[in-house]
Amino acid sequence: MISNQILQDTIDGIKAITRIDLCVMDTEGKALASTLDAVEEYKEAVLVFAESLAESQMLQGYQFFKVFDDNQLEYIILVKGETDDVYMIGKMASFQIQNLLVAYKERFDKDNFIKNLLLDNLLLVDIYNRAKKLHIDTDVKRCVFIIETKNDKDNNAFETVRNIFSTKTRDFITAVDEKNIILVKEVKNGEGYDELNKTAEVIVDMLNTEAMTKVHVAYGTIVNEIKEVSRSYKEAKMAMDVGKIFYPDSNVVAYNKLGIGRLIYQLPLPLCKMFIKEIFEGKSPDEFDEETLMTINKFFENSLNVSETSRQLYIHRNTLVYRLDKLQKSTNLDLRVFEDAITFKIALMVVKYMKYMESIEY
Amino acid sequence: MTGLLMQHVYKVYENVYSTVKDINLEAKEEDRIVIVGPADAGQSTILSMIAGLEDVSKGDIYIGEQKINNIKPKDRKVALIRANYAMYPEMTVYDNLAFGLKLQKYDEEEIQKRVHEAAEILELQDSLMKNMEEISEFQKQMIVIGRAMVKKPEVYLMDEPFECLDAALKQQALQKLIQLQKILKKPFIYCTSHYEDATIMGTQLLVIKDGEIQQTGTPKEVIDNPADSFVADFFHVSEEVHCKIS
Repeated sequence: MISNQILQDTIDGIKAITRIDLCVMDTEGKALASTLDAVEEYKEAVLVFAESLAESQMLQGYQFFKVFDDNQLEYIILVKGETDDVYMIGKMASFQIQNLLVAYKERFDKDNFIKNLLLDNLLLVDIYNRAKKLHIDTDVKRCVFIIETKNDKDNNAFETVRNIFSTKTRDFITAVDEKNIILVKEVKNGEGYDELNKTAEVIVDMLNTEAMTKVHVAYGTIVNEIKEVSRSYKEAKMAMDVGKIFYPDSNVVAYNKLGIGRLIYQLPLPLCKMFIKEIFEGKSPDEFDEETLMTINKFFENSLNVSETSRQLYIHRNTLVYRLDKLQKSTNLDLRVFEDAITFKIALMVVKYMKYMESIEY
Repeated sequence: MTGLLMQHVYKVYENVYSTVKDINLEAKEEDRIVIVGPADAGQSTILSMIAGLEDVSKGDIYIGEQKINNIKPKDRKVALIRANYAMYPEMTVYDNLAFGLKLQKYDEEEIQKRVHEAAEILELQDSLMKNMEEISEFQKQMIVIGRAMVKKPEVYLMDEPFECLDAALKQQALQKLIQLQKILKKPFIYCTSHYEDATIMGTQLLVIKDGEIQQTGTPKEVIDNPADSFVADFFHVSEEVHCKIS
């Protein structure tokens, strides 16, 4: 089925070219799209025509045509006029709408196939059979991008991405929930992760400027066969989650560049709790005040350099030393010592991870 | 008349990290304000806050008389231009310009009017029906600017828009922007990490480091009297240090 708006746009276009009025009705005589007024009077005639075996007929100054979808009568087209030219226009309109039905059906089928492929809902043999039927190449390199919009059901974002990519038949755009757009992109020969990163940046910038929406983009690894596309999707999902927890400032996160975040993300929560208990002895870094957290972060940013950190915090060097000593007393970790600094840094990351996991549980 | 006003604007992440601190900025219709500093100094964050893509942690932003802190990005009457752009490959120049307006459901007559107006200013009228393969790289850059112009914003925000162009095209594009601003008579807020672009582009400079303004002034004022060694180094000017040897 195609929307009435598409039917209306089609017959408006035909009328603009031919100056002939048309109307598209369903098999029950209801007008779905029309450039004419008052077509209800033809309802009975349409019903009779629909039941008949004729493919076209002429009645009361109008010509009637049938539009089939898979041998099933779908629409009746009325065209105003009795001449041969009008007959030709009617036949062409009917041909056009029939092709639109096929195209939209194929698009729906492809969309369905991609969704099921991403969600692992297909058996291996079905993947290859359906791909062959839908003329989707199985040996092309691909990568899955996930685009998370700030707002739910952001149709503008979806339309923007669709118009940038999907006109090339080898890329697919779909959505599996209200906030996430999935792009399954072909990776051409010679293209690598640099090009994929650039693509992700283009998506972020285009959605910022055209759809005026903030997005995060994550992408998985490049896969060589269609059966592995779901793996790339899972990787992109994980990259999105890891990015949210550990790299919230980054708009683009790649699965192959997750760093320590990847390791921590895989840790079982009980193990994390044990680790935090060992480091902080029941206290949580949440209990550190803002000043302490700021001091710690600045100190790490400046590679454990006391002078530079105190300068950037606009405090005396001794004040910074005092704060670090105080922290050492409460945690037994001296951040000026490299090993302790790593332990502390990782502990902060583990706490972030635990908080995130607890928040999604609710 | 003041087009854009930022008062004591901060951006703080997780209640701890300030990426932007105490930004004050006033832009009138004849101004080209250039926010210049090293990469990651906070320029993009400032533009994102004006555009509504990032929330303001503290402070206020006004466009005209209206405070815009809580207004959605689509309703803010700003247009943002970024470096990483894409053309809609199967669309003509006209459709590429019109796409954003179609998304916002403007009617066809209004879209036509705005697209033709923008095309005339950008010298794209003869190319409106061409496909993307038939136009030059410079024309594509003009389309990017045209997409912003058709929105008829009150403020233009540009985040290193010509970063991906070669040097010659970049110079051409900068000159075009300067001409454009005189025609459009709206404030331009331009971000860059290149001091040369800042001195060409700006009527006022905001030199920024680590999210804080180091100095404001005209390009001449900043180069002739850098506020500190950072500004002097950034603009590659020597700084006289007066001292007494005893």
